[in-house]
Amino acid sequence: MWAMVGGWVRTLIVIVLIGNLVDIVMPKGDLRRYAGLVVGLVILAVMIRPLSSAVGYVNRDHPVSAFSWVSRGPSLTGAIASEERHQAEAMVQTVPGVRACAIRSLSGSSVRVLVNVAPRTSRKLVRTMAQQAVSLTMGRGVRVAQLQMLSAKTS
Amino acid sequence: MKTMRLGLGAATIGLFLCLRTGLAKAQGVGPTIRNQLQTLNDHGLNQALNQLVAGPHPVQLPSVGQVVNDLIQRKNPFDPNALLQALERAALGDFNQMARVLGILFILAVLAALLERLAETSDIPEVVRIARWVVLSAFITVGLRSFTSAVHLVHHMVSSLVGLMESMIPTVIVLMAGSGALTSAGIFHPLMLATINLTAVLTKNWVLPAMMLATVVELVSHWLPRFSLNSLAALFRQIGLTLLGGLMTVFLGVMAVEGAAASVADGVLLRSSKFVMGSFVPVIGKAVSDAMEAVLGSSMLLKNAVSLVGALAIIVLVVFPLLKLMVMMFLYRVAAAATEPLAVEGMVKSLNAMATAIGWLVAIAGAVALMFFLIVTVVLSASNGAVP
Repeated sequence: MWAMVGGWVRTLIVIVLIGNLVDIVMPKGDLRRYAGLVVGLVILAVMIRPLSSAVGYVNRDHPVSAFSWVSRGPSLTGAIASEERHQAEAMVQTVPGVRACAIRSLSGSSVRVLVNVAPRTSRKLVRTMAQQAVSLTMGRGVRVAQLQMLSAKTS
Repeated sequence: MKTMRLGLGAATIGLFLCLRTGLAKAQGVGPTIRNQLQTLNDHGLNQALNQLVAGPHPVQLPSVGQVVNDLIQRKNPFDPNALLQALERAALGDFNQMARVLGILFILAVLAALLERLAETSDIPEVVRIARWVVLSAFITVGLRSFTSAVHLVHHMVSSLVGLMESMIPTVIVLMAGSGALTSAGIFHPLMLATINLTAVLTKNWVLPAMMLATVVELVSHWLPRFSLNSLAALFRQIGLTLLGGLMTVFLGVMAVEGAAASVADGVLLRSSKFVMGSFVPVIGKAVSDAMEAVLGSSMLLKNAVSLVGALAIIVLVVFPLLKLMVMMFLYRVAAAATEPLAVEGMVKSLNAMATAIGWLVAIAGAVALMFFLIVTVVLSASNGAVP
């Protein structure tokens, strides 16, 4: 940061130095006044160069959008959807016999439910409960499209 | 309920300390504190302190043990006369050193004045003007060199202050926890480290470069008066001073609030722990609670001794660079006053600008030193509220 500022200041000082030299060497007359104006314009251009390049950078490559520098990660909608899914999973896990549950969103308003259950758990019960949990947390229109039940021994 | 639990915790720590140092009841504070002093490892701290303050004008700082012994015997632990004598020697040395630079500046000023008079009578004034301009550039180079050395001085001072604080913090925090100020210890450890490093980084990487650039640009503007960059210098100076002012405001607010909160919390904690000890532990409860108080009190005395040594070290560390900067500023003002009758365009202005810039450096160094000094004193007084 300061290295950049230092380079900028060095350029400015060199230009001011040259301008003063020109001012000393130039013969008196109209030309001298115009030379002074030109040197002043050059100093102005060098001075605002960092500013204008910053503005150009923002406009060209990084259009400013509100809060673009705040949001990193899932959007608010995404966070809410994930939270709803976790709630539905937790509800399904309260069904007797269910060891673990994972809910994945499919396209449209349907979900896929994966459950790990103890042997001899009623598929119908799990399906009903999953449907109720999903429609309670994720909205009435959402339905369970697939139900996959595993009863792997997890020791 | 939570206070009760914390109180039990503090009581346990107190009991542990009692057992470590032997049941200290009725022995008074002297033997207990000597026991604690033997178990406290202050060798590293003392070594770091003496390394830090050993400059060209070394001042012998008392060790923590000496301070404690002197305080118990009601003697003054530090002799200010030694410091004053060292200061006098340092001031004379700086005066000598700066007088040489001033001699060069005076010779250049006289040369420039001669050339100025020549230019007024000469047929080709341009050539003589360029010659005078070259003399002025030599003048400004000498001035900038001395200003750079002043900036390095402040840089070095801030670094050694950080080193000093970092060698002191662990000992103080341990003793603070030992004197029952658990909340203060928990709050102040991260707070102190964060504040110290923030101050150091901001000062060294932002404030000092900004001031350096401001001075360079201002001197160049006096050197090249036709197209000058005075406002740019003002901009850089404003950036540096705003950063320093903001840092100081935030720092003072944080220290005041945290100090008050921690002190109150610790007071409640310690009183409840004494009450728990005295009333719920049968038979020996009262004795142990009295002994605990003796141990906590002596821990506090030790902690205050360490903080006292730290505050002394900060003063000794800061006062020599500040004195040198003051001497420089004074001599630049004298030079400006002396060269004014020579009527050389730009010379008096650049000398005054140099003096002002060194004055700002004094302000920056003083502000940083004051902040570190405040850390020590706020921590000292905040955690003293714990022991009744």
